[in-house]
Amino acid sequence: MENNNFGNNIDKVLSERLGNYEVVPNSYNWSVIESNLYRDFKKNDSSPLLYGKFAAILLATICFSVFATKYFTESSNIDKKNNASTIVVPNDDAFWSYFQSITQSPEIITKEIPIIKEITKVEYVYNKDFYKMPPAYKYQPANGEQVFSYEDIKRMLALYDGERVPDNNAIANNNMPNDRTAFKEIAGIGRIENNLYNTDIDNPLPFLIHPVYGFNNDLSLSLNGGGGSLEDSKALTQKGINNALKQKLIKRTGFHFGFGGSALNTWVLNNEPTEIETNTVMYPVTLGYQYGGNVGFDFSTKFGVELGIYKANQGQKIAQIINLKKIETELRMDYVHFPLTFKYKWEQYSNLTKNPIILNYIFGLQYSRMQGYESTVNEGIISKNSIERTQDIGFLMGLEYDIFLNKNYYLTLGARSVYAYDVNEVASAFNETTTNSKANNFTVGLNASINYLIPNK
Amino acid sequence: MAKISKQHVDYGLVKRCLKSEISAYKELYNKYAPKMFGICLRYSKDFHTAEDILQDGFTKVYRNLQKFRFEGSFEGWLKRIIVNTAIEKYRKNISLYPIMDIGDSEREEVHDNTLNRLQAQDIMDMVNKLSPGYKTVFNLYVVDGYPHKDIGLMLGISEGTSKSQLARARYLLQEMIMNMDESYRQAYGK
Repeated sequence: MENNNFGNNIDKVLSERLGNYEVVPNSYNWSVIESNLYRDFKKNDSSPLLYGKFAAILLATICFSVFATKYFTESSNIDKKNNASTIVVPNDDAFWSYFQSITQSPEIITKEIPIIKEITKVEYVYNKDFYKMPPAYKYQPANGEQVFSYEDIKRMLALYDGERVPDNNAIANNNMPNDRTAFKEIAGIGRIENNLYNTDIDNPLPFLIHPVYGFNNDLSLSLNGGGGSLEDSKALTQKGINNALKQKLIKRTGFHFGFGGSALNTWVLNNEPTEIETNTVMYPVTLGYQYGGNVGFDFSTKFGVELGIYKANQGQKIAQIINLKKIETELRMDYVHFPLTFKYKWEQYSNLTKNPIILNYIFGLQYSRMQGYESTVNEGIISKNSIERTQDIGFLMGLEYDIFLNKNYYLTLGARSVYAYDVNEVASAFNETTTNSKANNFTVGLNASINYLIPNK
Repeated sequence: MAKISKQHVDYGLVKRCLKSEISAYKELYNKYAPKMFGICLRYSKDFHTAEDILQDGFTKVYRNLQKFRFEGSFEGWLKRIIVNTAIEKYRKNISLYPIMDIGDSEREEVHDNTLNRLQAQDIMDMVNKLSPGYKTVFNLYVVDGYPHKDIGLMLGISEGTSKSQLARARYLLQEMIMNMDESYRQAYGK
């Protein structure tokens, strides 16, 4: 009992003394807490929005990629349809009807013929844009697999085309003049005349739907060549059609011009705040825009060059936390940009538009002239001196899709980024007596334009 | 529980803090930091750890201020958060400070006048000489008034262990007080 009393007593004394024990902490403890508060505030204020924007961009990119893969390009269809069950087999009556139509008037070829739409489309495509053929073209005839060569395809398609196409096999074999394929008016009817097949005995065409003229100039129809059969004709596989469709895209070289615009975000860099603690300053996404035109030339199926002129209004918002309140100020800059870009192109075929879709990897230089600026930003964060300049030079990179709507018009959608320096600053980098005081700009933009291609002959 | 009066100075301060007035935050800190730092020092092994607890604790208070329901005293709410922060830190290092069940220790008698001579700093010095386990249980039970059951839950130990730890802490403290008393007598001949 005594001990308990004693325990209670000592507990009471110690509790009273320690319970009121106070020590004033060092002042830096408050600085740490204050800094935590600012960080929290900044995080709560900006992160969801910032992450939201990044998430939106990521989502849009993924959606576009999926969309492009699923609907624009044919690769998935090739994979899905590359099997025997997808062989196009027209019924006989319809086939004959089709056959008669194409032999009487080539224009009919361009119309939709329901029984073998894909084949019709192939013919149409090749007739209009007959530039390059696949190196090998497989089909599955009734009596086993056979391979079309590049030249075979050319010769086959020549039969349906008014354009003259040299038959290299025939030339090589000294069998025929170099071109006897022609579209002629015979007895008042537009007909395809072709004798190449029959004369090139060493290299017979593997299969063909083609007209044959008798001695009396009557038109007769032949379904085969070199011993082929109706079954062969029916056995043109979807894979072959798709390959042919893909290859028809290739000829997209020539001069082009277009008009468009971009939505931009610019970050003004190299501006560490001098008067305000960095953790109280935020650089929110700030939308700008540019619009203008471009001209360019695609040298080949892989490479091209483009020059643009764009008028831009872009800037940088600054958000400061003052007394845990967000105060926004803004810098706006007017520019005229002259991007000179080089393109590396990767071509695909769009199942959606039935036209090419070209992915361009873009890099180049951008020369810019500043037209003026307005700023309400605190000088301690971005000084007017660091903004003022007349000319910028920037490095440009980007990724764009050219979505052909037909053989001439195409829509360009993509993203570009530019890291730009004041021209004098670039010069000062080689001159040790001057100092670097100008802000650099990093700009990212999403762009869209409509373009017109004048293909090379 | 009685609601905190609107006239109470803390009511206005907390309301201003909730409006993100940094000056109110600082006022609140200045008002309570010395007392809270005293608590931090009681629970920590050294000065730097105490500062860490203070910073974390106050940051936590500000982050959770909207959860304060204006019932009871703000100081009590603040104190609970600081103590919990200290315990969290302690629990992170619990493997370094094992708490073992020990038997009751016999207590020796300490005279009241000896106790009266003790200053808070003397007691702090003695408490700081205790091992972290003893010190934490002692602080929670004796100074901050938590029952053994709660202490057990907070520290992840049994109620019995908490009791035995407290007994051992008391024993060691008494020993230190008596030694100090002996030194005092020798020095002043009283």
